[in-house]
Amino acid sequence: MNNTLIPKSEDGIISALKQIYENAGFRAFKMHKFEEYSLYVENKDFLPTEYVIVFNDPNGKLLALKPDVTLSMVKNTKATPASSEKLWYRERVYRFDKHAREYREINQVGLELLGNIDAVAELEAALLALRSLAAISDRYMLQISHMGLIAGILHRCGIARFEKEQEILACLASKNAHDLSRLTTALNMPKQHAALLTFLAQSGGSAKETLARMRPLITTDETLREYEELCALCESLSALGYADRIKLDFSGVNAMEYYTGVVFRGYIEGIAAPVLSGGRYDRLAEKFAVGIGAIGFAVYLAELLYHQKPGEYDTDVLLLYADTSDPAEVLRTAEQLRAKGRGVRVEPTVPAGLRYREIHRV
Amino acid sequence: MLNIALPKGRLGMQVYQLLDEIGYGCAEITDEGSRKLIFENPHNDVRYFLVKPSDVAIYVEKGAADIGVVGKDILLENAPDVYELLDLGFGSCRMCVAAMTGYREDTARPLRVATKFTNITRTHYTKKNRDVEIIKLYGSIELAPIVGMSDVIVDLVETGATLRENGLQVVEEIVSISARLIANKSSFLFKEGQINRITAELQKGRSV
Repeated sequence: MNNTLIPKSEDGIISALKQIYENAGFRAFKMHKFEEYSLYVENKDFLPTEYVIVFNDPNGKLLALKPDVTLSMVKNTKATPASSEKLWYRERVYRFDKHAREYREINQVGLELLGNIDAVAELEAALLALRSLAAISDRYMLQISHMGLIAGILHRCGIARFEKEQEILACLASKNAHDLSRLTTALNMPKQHAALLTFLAQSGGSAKETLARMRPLITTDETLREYEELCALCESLSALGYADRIKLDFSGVNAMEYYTGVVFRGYIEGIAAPVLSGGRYDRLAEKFAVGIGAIGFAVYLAELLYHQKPGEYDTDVLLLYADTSDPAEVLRTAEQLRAKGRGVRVEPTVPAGLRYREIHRV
Repeated sequence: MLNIALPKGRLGMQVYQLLDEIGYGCAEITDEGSRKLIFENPHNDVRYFLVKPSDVAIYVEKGAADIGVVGKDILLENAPDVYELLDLGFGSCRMCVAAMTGYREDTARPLRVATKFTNITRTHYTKKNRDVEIIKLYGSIELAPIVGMSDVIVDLVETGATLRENGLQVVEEIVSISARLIANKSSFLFKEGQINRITAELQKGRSV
């Protein structure tokens, strides 16, 4: 599985994503390298990690290397319910890798829509997520789910204990219907809600089929509203030609405090980890601007590095010169070759291990 | 091609027999004299890796294997980001707290716990708000309370015979353990039909 090769370089992918986002009217947003640590303390429920690299600036203020981009973008938003902001970014974030037990620098590109998030805005975010995946590889798939639907079921069942919520979300995230069934029984969850959760834990396959099989399990008006939102989104994406690229799959739901509605997760065939992640996060947006909604996603580039085809040669031409060569003549020759589109490396002798297509001498 | 990671030993072979019956055979794997770690049958479009039981989840999480079979103890201890598709019901045992027969806990001081499973132990005692000193061991866990190094142990108990022989007894059961079928999240999306078929067949085999 690890032999999958992505044809584009990292720069090529970033350039393609930039073009997609700017063609959709998203403005580039470059943020400061550091963020005030107090922002993360005040909003720790919305952070994807509890680990943050913190340091003092010369004035004694606590600063942090950003573990997350969205918070920094949302805190300064000028969006209102009547006037939206559409921004894209390319940033580095610093997150703790629990397996490696060390911090990792993660290169990510993403976008945020802030303001009035109606059906068109939600569809545009999903469409741009699909187009982002297509820019990386033609073998991609977008998982779509809905955190509001899950949170609603748990709320109606009176499951307010954080620990139990987390156990149920963990079962959904791992498609673990057997332990989920034991858990819903132990919690005395009403049968219709337990049946829906168990179905969602096993969700997959085409979005259309899954939605059709899910319908008989929808028994409350609130769940119906969220179900219809999912139906409308999937139908629109199918109408736009993406029916084979979307799956209704609730293993993508996580971070109940953060996401409030639709959740996306994008995969490339042959790459083990998701390369795209995002969704609707109205609760965080409303903390900073009354009445607005928000949706966005990030594309993670780190994993792609391991799947890029290495160049066959380090240079097209190795141009060797002698002690007696005229320096100007050496570089004129190199420039003439470069003008023809050849890569040229100039050396007095052949460097150890250098792979070159051909050798020229001056 | 479907890549399957199986744990070396009895459990791995038990699962292989079921996979063989549903069309994923690879006869070479049953050769007990073989020292090979990888077995391939292009005819059945399948490749097996035989790996250390505790490594199966890593192979699947990292995508080297599409599916695998692993004990629930490993999943609880290492929390790999994988799908847990089926409780196979094999290899049943219990994760338990055990102590010397007649042991009485002194709740006025931290509890010393010897174990291989430090994360399961920490989670268990954090839920109870009990202060513990965890002593990480790699084998012969039962020895720790006998020589007074720990008050209790947290370990897998199958029949309880090893505990009894060493004068220990179970004082608390933490969780039931059995073998689970796991899948890589990306592989599942792109090989869903094949993986669902295997899951369904293994489920049938399980209930036989």
